[in-house]
Amino acid sequence: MDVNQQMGQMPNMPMGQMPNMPMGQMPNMPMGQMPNMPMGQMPHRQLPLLNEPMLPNQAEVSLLECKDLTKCYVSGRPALDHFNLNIEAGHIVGLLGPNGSGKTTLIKLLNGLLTPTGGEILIRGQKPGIASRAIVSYLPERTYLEAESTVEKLVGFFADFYADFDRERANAMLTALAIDPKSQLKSLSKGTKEKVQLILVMARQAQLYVLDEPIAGVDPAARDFIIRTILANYNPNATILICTHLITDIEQILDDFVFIKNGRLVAQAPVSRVRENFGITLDRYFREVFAYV
Amino acid sequence: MFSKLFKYEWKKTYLPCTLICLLFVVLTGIGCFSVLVGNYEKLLAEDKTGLASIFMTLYFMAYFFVGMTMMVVIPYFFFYRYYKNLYTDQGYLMHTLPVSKKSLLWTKLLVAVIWQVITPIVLFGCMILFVMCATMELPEMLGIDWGEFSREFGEAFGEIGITLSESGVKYIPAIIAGILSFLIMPFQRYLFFYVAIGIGQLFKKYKLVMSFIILYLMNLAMNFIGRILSLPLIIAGNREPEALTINIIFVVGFLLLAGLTVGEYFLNVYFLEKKVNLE
Repeated sequence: MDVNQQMGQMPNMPMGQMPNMPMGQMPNMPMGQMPNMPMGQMPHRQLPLLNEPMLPNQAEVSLLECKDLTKCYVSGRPALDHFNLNIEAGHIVGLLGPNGSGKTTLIKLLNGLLTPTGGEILIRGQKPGIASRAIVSYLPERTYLEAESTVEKLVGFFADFYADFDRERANAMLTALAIDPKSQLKSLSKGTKEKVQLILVMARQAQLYVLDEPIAGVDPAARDFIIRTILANYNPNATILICTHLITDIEQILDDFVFIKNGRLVAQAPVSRVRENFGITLDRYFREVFAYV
Repeated sequence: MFSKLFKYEWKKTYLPCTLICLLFVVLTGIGCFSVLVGNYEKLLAEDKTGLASIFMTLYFMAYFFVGMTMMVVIPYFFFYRYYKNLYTDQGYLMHTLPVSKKSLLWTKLLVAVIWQVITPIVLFGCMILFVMCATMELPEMLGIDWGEFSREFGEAFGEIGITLSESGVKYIPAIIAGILSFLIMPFQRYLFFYVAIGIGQLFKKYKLVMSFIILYLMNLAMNFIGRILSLPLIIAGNREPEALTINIIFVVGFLLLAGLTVGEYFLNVYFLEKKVNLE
């Protein structure tokens, strides 16, 4: 992933201003580049589904591979239905789809929090387990740390259990944000708690980062911080899988996207293909695609 | 990793348990001091305001309450901690640590069992101490010769010892089975709790409430099965059983308990590995 190259597509523009630019400021922009225009004001057009799966790196085992992955709960349709996906190292990937499409189920399977009903999921060629958990850094959607713990103790906890945890990096990020390491998690605001969680997750030198809704429920300034933190700690040999509904906020940092609906892979391609082929943003493409699929 | 997990589990639980135990020790100390040093009988007799009797009532209420807390609340503290740590949002952290699910179970089980052993030792140790302090005064109050009292006390224990040593050989299997049962019982108790939690968390809502309901139902079922299985013991007891019968009963009892414990262990491992139902 060439972060600078992607960031360079938006010269001199602060990160937070891009997605929410008023319509009037983009008078000559084609329809697809107006991400915040209400759907009702624009006619839908059926765009072709992009499908350019990542090519497996012959030199090493795939970072993440799903083969016919199926997960059925006790009742209802399968949450994942013969899902196939290949993700290689060195990408920032957006895992996108409407509510109930199977994103969270996929993430839980990846982290070993659920077991597949059929097929398999492999991380560096191994099923989710102790070895995979040592190389996957996971940020759940929820506040999952003990509220009574202090930030300092949580840093110690992560340093104790994850061999790839960089304590200095974590402390540097905490200092940059003026978060007192001695403060209890329960005494912090929601946004600060989210930042602490992100710092702990991103301070690891993991091979795969799985971030489930990392910018949901926080103000735009906090979103900018989170995106900056993700970029600043990005290791080009690692992969970041981001699951979110706030596409406009993150599409500037994405290399690739994966669209998922009803437990099936709908589309997968580099984000640049969307711009090249249709001249629209990923957010626009998402809206167009899911209006028909 | 196991030792790190154990260390964290211990650090997270020792404080409330230690405080409750210390409180009971302090209350016992106050009680012993009042009995041995303070002239409380005179104080009670001369007290016209009723304050001394109120104080004494409050003291015994506190003593009873703390004792009950030790025996009842501490096990439920570990019950709740297991649920919260592994089956609520905190599970997202615990289940994604690079450790095995068996390690998660064992560390929680061992810490809970250690406190399950410490708590009655402190509780009964303190109560025995209190009674001893009280009985040092009692013989005098009742006009009993303390020397004769302790001699008779010793002789009684001596007789029990002689009886045991004479007939003990016959009951060796029963004694060994009894000791082993006593040792694994705390493990069985907590694994039993954890099975209830494992089933309760499978529900979509009210997981903790469901866990308690399941625990209650499981207790009912176990009591029922226990009574059926203890029928031979009752019948044997009525017929003045032979050593062989007693031995068989104890050994079979131990084997059933061990089987139940192993079954509960694997059921919990199964829940942790395959059936975690985080929201």
